[in-house]
Amino acid sequence: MSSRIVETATDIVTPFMILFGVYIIINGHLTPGGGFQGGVILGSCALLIYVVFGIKRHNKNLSIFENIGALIFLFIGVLGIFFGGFLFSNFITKGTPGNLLSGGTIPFINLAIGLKIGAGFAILFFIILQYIERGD
Amino acid sequence: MKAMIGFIIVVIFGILILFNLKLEFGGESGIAGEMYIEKGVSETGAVNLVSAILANYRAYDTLGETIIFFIAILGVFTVLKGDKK
Repeated sequence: MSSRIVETATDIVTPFMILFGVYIIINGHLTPGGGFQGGVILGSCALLIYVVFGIKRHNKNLSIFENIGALIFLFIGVLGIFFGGFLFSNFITKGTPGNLLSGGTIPFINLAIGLKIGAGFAILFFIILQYIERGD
Repeated sequence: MKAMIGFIIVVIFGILILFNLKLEFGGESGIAGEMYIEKGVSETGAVNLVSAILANYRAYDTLGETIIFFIAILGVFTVLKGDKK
């Protein structure tokens, strides 16, 4: 339904949007941002693809990614019980504050949340667009 | 009539709240806030304090948020994916 101009612009913009979302997630413990914010950017990237190219581009296995994200998040939390004494304790060495590899478990929790929220928003937009396309 | 009664009740309780509870907005930070500012970076190793609180001190809260998000997806799925009558 969309014109060739829109499709070409989406082709150019989409990789940068994904890169920006991943950057927000990975730098969540250094700069403003984090798992939720980066995940929402990834999800809106999926929305752009659905609107421009149609929902046939939807990947049926996307819900697996959401489950994997939630399971990694819970797994890190449960590992905190065994190594730190309480749920979600920060049991890895902290590193020097300011480096990319610092903050203990925080970057991994951000990655898991980003995966979960990004896939979740993609599924949400897919369901709503499918409902709109089906008619009333 | 019911709307008038409701409006009067809201006005009465609004006046009571306004004059009896002296609400202070943006007062001094509590003990927990000062603890986060003082010890946050050294305890968690994350420069971004908001992220440190969300993913380390209050990770339990974040777990609840993800569960709420999952339930929201389930609700949308149930309402919009149902069979047409």
